[in-house]
Amino acid sequence: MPIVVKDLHYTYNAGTPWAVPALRGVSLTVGDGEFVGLVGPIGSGKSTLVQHLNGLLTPPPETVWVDGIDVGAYGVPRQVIRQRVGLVFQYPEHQLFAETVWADVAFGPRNMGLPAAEVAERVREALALVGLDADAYGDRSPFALSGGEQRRVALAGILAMRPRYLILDEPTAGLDPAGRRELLTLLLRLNRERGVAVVLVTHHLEDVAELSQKVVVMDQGRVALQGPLEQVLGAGQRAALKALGLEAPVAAQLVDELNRRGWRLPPHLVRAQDVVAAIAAVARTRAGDGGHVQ
Amino acid sequence: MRALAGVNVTIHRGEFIALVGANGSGKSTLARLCNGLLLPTEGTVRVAGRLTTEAGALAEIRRQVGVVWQDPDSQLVGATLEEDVAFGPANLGLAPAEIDVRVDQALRLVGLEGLRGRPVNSLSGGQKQLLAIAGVLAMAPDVLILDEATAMLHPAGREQVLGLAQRLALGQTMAVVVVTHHMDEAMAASRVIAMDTGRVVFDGPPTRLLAAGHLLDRIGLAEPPLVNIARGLREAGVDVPLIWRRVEDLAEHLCRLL
Repeated sequence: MPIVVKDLHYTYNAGTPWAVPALRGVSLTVGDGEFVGLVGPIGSGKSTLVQHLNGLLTPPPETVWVDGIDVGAYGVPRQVIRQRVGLVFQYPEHQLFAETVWADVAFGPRNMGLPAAEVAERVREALALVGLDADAYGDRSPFALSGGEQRRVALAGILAMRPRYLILDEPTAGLDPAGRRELLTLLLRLNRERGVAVVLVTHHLEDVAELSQKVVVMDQGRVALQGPLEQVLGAGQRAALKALGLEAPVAAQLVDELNRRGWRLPPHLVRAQDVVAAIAAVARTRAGDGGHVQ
Repeated sequence: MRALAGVNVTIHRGEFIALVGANGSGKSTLARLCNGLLLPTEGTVRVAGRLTTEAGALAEIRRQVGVVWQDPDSQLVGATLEEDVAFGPANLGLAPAEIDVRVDQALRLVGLEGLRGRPVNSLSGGQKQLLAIAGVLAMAPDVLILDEATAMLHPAGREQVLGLAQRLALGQTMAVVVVTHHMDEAMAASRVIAMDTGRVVFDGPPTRLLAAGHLLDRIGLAEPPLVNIARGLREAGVDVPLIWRRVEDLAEHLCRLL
């Protein structure tokens, strides 16, 4: 069952002179096990949107459904939604609070009222997923860890709730390339091996191109573009993305530049390895032609 | 905890330097040592000949070496743009007329002159970072260090800040050091200093660093996407040079080649 958003509006400070419309009629679907890239300029409404998906901001009734549950309906407990939809904020390490890594990760499952043995199992599993050994790290203070490790502990705290949907708001901000690759590999594994649906909010379109199946582009509180990766970030979309202040992935830009010079590469190629393969194929054909002519 | 281990570096006016390295490589520590925010436990740091440990030298050294940090909100002090930029020069004890000239020049340099009386909190992240740079420029520094100053910015904001950094270095009146772990930002620099576990492992032009085999990978950095594509093409038997900065140029080259 998916997350469905239908014509969602949200205004900050509604009814006051400082009213700022943040969402103006957003509709989208996050399918079961899908990997969705959510991109858009600052202030386009991405963060406001994702806060509605786990009930942090309460949507009006009949606008957001998670696995068929109307998030805004009267009487729906927040925990029910939050166990299904894990939201990882920007700089999630700022939310660490417990004395030990173990206690921090265990907080969520304990609050779910699970028996101690189950909590322990989940903490071990979540820490292992983010690449931290529970025995080595469990007793340490989260505040004595490096920034990258802290972020992984914070993520483990969400994973321990075993969410079906994982939403991450700029999760790689401040990480170096090695840390970034590590985190994105983890997201890919969670998605492919465990079927967790992932919504990655980012402005790195290169990352989106490598990972996502579907892309949603927001602008000024509305969905500007939405569809399969190849369709939204492909060579033909370069101008539309530019108008929104976004750079198409470099591989798609190369396809666009080559096709403008008379090549006929498939315009939907957006991944570096696919574009390399397509160009190499052209090179082999031309080399073959050349040999034939001579 | 040993953050730096035997670093020897000299930088000059007019240089546009990218200081790169993974998290924990020591690049921010080096930046902090340059303006006396940290003092060396071994060895020395000299700014225009004066040791950062010299009694009474710090105030002048901090004027000479201006640093802009990652988070724009943590380094802005004024309610309006002009108030914010005036803070530094006012603290230098300059006359009001001179402060006014400095504010004017600094805002002009970063392209925010039209917003002079506006409240700081009305700016975008990119504009705030430009304002933070203006605040440093109003002190007429000899070295401007941007410590991951583009990390929280969008591509458009990043381009704004990097373009400004390049122009300031070209002006020859100061050295500009961009601390970053994005190699595509380092490509615009005239010199790259790469650090790994507290040591300088490379010092030279960016093209040479990219060509240096797997050095980038080893120190936890990633090559720019376009270079990555060129490398892929070479491995697939398409004989193109490795280093490209513009997509158009690689496309042109492929058209001539094939």
